[in-house]
Amino acid sequence: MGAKLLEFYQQAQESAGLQGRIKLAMITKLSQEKAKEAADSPKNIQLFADAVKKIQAE
Amino acid sequence: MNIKTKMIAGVAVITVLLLGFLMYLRSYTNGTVNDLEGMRDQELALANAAWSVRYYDQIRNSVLAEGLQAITFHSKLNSETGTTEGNESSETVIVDGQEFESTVMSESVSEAVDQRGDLSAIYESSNQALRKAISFGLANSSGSALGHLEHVKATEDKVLAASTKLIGLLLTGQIAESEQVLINEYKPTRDEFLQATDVFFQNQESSIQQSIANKISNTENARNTSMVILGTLILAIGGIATILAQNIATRVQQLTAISNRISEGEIDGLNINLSGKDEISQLGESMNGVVAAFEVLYQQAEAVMAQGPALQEVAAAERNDEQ
Repeated sequence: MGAKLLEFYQQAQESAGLQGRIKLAMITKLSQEKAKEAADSPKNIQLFADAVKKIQAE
Repeated sequence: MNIKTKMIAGVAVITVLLLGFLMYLRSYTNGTVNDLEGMRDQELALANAAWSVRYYDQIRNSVLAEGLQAITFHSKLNSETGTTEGNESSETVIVDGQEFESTVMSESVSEAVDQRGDLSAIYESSNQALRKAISFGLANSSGSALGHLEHVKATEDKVLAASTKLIGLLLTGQIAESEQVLINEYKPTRDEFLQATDVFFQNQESSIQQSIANKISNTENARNTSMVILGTLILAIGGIATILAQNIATRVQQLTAISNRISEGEIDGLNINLSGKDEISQLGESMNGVVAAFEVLYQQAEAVMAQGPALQEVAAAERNDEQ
């Protein structure tokens, strides 16, 4: 559960460090710990993917 | 639906309810005004016409009686004693707005005969006014009132025929014949006429009583209905206000409780889930983001703390190496 979502946290970390993870948490409303437990549902994946794109764009 | 829209919707519902109530009141008031106008224009007008018929009949009857009495009295006085003295009595009679000085009881037969013009004028005016009242009644009545009034008119035609004959005889001094007409024609037809007007009166009286009873009953019903509508309206307004207030106040209380927990640092396991799609639920969603960001920072801080002893050992080793 949440493996793919954690990958997005990794991507945010690589793109913008701690600030990127904080932004990802704020946009998705799911912290890293909660993302671990959340389902890798298409809806969640889409939400995280869009958020990461936004962080990378900044 | 946002809070503003909810408020507007609530106010709109209340406004529509109030407008509906006002429309009902307007409709009822218009109905009452129409009823009262109808009563004034028909039932009361007919009652007034009925009183006029009775009034003018009384005048006509008085004129005939007075004329008959005066002429008979003077004729008998003259033929029996040869004197011309008699009683005098004067009275002002108003018929249909016109004043008449009725001094039929004059001092002599010749004076009485001279005053036949007055007698005739009063008689004619009474007839005209009486028939005008009947015509007005016929034009403004319907149903049973019309039937009764038509009967009044039929009997009045007979009275008029008899009284015209009677006054004709009186004015020409045919006293014996006029007495016969009075007894055999005028009195029976007038009795019939009075009976007919009595029936018409009774009909009008019961009609007016029925109308008033209906209006009282309608007014009582409208009052009760208004009370029920107003009570329901107050309950509906109270219900809408309570729902709106609860909807907003309960969630604001939840948000306040969550803010208090955040301010005390209790963010562990904090999940803000507020129902709805309005500004309050959006605020809750935003707070969820802030809580998630806090958790990330918290985890980062824990990770740094965990690395602390190892970093100290590395620093100590580096210092030893330098020595």
